[in-house]
Amino acid sequence: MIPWVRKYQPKKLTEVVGQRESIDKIVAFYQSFPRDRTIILSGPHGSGKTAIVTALATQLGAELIELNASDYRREQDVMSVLEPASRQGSIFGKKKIILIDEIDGLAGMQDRGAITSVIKIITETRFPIFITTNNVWNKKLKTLRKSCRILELRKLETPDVLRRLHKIAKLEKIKIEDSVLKKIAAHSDGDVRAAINDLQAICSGVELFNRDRIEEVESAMRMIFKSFDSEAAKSISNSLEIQPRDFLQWLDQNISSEYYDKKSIRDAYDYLSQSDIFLERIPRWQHWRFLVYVYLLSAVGVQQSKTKPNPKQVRYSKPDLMKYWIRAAKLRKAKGLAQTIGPKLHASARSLQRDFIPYFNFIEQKNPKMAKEINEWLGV
Amino acid sequence: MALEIWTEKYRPKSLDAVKGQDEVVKRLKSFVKSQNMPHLLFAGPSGVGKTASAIAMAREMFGENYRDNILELNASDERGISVVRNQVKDFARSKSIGDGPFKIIYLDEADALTKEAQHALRRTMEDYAGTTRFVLSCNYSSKIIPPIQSRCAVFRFKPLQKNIIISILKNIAQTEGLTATDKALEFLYLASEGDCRKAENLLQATSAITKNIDEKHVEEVVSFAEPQEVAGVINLALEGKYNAAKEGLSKVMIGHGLSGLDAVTQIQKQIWQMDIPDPLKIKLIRACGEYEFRLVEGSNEFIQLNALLAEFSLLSENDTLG
Repeated sequence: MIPWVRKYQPKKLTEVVGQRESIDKIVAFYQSFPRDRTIILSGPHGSGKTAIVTALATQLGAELIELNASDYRREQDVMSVLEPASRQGSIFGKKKIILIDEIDGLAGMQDRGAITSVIKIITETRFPIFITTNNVWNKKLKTLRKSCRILELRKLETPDVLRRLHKIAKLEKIKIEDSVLKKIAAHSDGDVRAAINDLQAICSGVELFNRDRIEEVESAMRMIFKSFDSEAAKSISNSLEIQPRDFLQWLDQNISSEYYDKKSIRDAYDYLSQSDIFLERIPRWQHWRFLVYVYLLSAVGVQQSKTKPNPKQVRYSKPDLMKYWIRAAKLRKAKGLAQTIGPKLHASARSLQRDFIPYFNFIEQKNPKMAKEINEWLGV
Repeated sequence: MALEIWTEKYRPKSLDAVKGQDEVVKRLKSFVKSQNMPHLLFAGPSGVGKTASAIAMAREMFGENYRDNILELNASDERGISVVRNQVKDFARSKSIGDGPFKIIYLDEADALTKEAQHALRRTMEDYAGTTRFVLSCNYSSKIIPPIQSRCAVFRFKPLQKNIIISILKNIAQTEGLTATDKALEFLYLASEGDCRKAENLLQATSAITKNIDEKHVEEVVSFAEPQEVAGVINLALEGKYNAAKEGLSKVMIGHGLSGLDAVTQIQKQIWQMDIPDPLKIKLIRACGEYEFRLVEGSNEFIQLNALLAEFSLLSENDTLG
């Protein structure tokens, strides 16, 4: 499956959300080439830096030579691509644009040699070079700054992100509540790429929300919760077409609305918990037969745990995917933050989340001025 | 004006400034003196000076250019051992600035690596033994595989004593122009649980509201930063209001961004402080232990924690039935 961020990469500048002023300036830069040969686009994650450059290239029908972090392992490799690319015309006889994406990741950036060769290339290049970075004021980029035009992109506003999500949801023909889209957009904090990834992640679970599927799962739930027929419960693993992970989530969501005495709930959860452990063991040991236990322990285990069936009709609800998603999004955010400020504080993502962020939040709330000064020191 | 985080501002600049680890410091100093050392394994709780000691030692060993001679990695952040290996390779190969006899690789949270990754790490340690020394840091040395342990000199860091933490806090308060009552300092120590980093962060957060700190102010920060709702969730489970407990726990975890392990840690601590009969208390603690283990082994944190709450409900019901 193609990631949506790639599938829906803007092909024209008009498709890029927000950043109108910046786009005008970038076009002006391109048109005035070679007055300035290189421009640094600086802005937060997912604010559209790379998207603008690729859209510009597609719109102009230009050849795009792109270097990104995965090419940056070795300094020589970078130079061996960059040097010829900046001198020779396009082999397809087209216009040419060079993009150095996320230059902060370039190996040997602190090293004088690397930066000198980059500067030499960008001042002599025959084709416009675009450089992107999260923070142009990074110390490492000090010398580079002097030889380039600088453009700072602001963080996207939530409505900008939301517009993009709406568009993609429409093109993908997915029915998704507006409130969910709004939540995703607000949560992304202006990072449109993260928002699109989240949308796709949530919608891969939406597959299980199509009407037939849901009825199928609901009837499986009914059979497990209301009957004692272990053969029928066992056969679920063959008939039900949802992922085991999702199946366990369905059970987790519904056990306690169906079972009412403590003993049944406890026993059912005990089986569910063991089943979840076997699920995790499959990839760890590459032993697929564990899947048998995943299904037997969950379906039959939960089924046999009840003292007696609940006579009441229970409406089964689908798993609360937002819950899982918010967790994942928070963790990802902490990871991103750990990359920027972790080294400064000698802290891992987990330790940041636990030992620092709660206190930063307190300071932010009680003393915004102090928080601002701290952020300045942290460089965020 | 930029404002430094105090954990960095007051990070010990020399081994002598590392407090409360006299035995460790003595031995590290002898390495500095001889300009040689084996691979090291630092074991101990968080915030007692492991990273601080490693940095201070590197500083004394390599002088002003120490930063070029020490590479800090965090095992829990790096994606897999191959990343660690590549970084180590690049670092070990690049020429050192100054005349350090070797380079130091500080691998924090080494116990986050799987057994397989640790075996790969062992190879790497051997491959670059000529030019680099590893300092591995972890909470429990037992989580490090024996072949690595046997290649390292093991250093055990002790939890910091009350008087040490309080004297560190007093020093910071004085430099920063703050006053703190004895009760406030006592409270800071209790809330920090012997973790100096936490104590310093607490103090800095408190300084956001006042320059004259008493225990009320500290309490305000603690109750903001630490999820108080956990106690409520446990009580709901013990009262048999299972669905409410389950919902409450998800809310706390999402709201505070707690991981499953963080949540179970909080739950276990809360239970110890609760006013319930001791036999029930220890049963609940045993359940915490069991589910902490399952969390580590399992994949869905919510399922494991919900199962723990179900266990609580039943245990408490059986207890009242007698």
